[in-house]
Amino acid sequence: MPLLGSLAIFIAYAVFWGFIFQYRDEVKGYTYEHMITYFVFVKILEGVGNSMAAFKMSDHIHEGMLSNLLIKPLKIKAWLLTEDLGRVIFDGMIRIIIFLGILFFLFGEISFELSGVALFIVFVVLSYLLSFNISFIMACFSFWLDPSSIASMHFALRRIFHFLAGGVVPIVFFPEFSQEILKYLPFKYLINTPIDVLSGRIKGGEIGVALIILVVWIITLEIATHLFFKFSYKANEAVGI
Amino acid sequence: MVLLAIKTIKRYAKIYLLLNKYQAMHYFTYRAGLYMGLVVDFGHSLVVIVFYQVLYSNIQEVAGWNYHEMIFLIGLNMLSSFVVLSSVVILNLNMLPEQIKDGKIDLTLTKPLNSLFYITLQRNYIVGYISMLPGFYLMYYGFSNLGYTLSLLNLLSGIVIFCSGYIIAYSILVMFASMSFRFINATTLARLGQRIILEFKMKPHQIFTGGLRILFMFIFPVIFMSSVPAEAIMQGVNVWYVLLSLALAAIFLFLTIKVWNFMIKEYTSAGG
Repeated sequence: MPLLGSLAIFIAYAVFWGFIFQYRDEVKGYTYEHMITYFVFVKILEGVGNSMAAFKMSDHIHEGMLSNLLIKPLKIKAWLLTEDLGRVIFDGMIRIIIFLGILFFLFGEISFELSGVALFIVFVVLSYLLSFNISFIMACFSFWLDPSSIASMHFALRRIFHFLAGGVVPIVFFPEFSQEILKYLPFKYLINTPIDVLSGRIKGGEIGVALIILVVWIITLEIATHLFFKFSYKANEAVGI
Repeated sequence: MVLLAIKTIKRYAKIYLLLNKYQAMHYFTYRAGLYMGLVVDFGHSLVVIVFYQVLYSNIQEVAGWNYHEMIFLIGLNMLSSFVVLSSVVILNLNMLPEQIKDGKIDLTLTKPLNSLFYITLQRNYIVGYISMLPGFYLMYYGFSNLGYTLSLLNLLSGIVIFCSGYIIAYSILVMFASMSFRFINATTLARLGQRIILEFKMKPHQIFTGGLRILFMFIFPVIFMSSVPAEAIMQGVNVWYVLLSLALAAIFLFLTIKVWNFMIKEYTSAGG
């Protein structure tokens, strides 16, 4: 069902941009085919960028499961990661089949450079780790907020991050100054950069710089989540049975 | 017959006001939820506004709508979205699949009230009515920069089409949600109709051509929620749209009642 919702949104975008491109051949270097291909991969990557760690942690805390997990010989974060990864892989596979199928149906062929595909996969894996860490930070707020507040915060922030990641319009459409700012923030590496790598819009040194920034953000958020979890956990109160 | 109808309407109006009075009291007692809700709604609205800002920094017009006309449309779209979401969706239809699964709906169905009214309209998401206020400002800002004159006839026709659009959206949403009586635990079924309506209604209706025009004018007539009333208010009455929207509202509401009653008959509780 969420995929049907994603499909509806994709169709809305395709119709909207189709109309815009009726009167112009290209906008900011994107033709209609480029734009549709972009949004196909946005929909595929949405499954990757949509970590549910925040909800899972909130459920575990409010249902009393957290205490149970703490006595197990594994880290909470690792547990949440493996729970989330299974869902992401399954969701991602279905999205790849459906949305690449749509692309093939619309344009008849799909061709990317092998090096682009390989780098795309690397970026997708790293962007998932980034997304998971962002979600885990939100998850730590579960020690203070009730599940509905966590859900509200998650939806609001996810929508904003999705926009800043280039999920609604490619980052190149943004004003120059905001493109410069977004270059150093983690969001564009969730969606826009992996797609640019795949399509060959960024090459060589630019890919290297993007990788470095992405890895720096992952390491920073790893440290931040570790510290924030330790700090948040002190607010935890469990009731014995 | 007429007196009975008036008496029934008065009774349901009284019940509606009472239910929502308690809902409002609840919200203002637990204000954290109110503030969080405002943050969520603000996030949603901000993304839409910034998206069109970004778009219009690259192109001059979309389907003949310039920047200020689009701002007006965004404002009206915010109004229509929040009115539908707040009155029907968030605390009513979105909860329906869960209530059916848990058996809580059984208690609701035994009450001496029309089930369609009670299940779909019993609670209002108060936060949404606060969140839609910036929509009025956007409409004012867009319209004041256009140089059009606001005529009473245009405004009234826009309001009539808007209200018809609300009834159409309500009908579509209820028909989707009512399938939860048949497909138990399909929690996102209710949200699918919501997604379709919210994504397509915010676009200028001129972008839908050919088969899509027929789809969004007659089968999922979402254009009557934002785009058509916005055009009517700004540029003048199109009598055909006014009459069509009224006719479609009546037809969709009739179909909704039929579908709802059919789905209720299909419902089998787990008992207990």
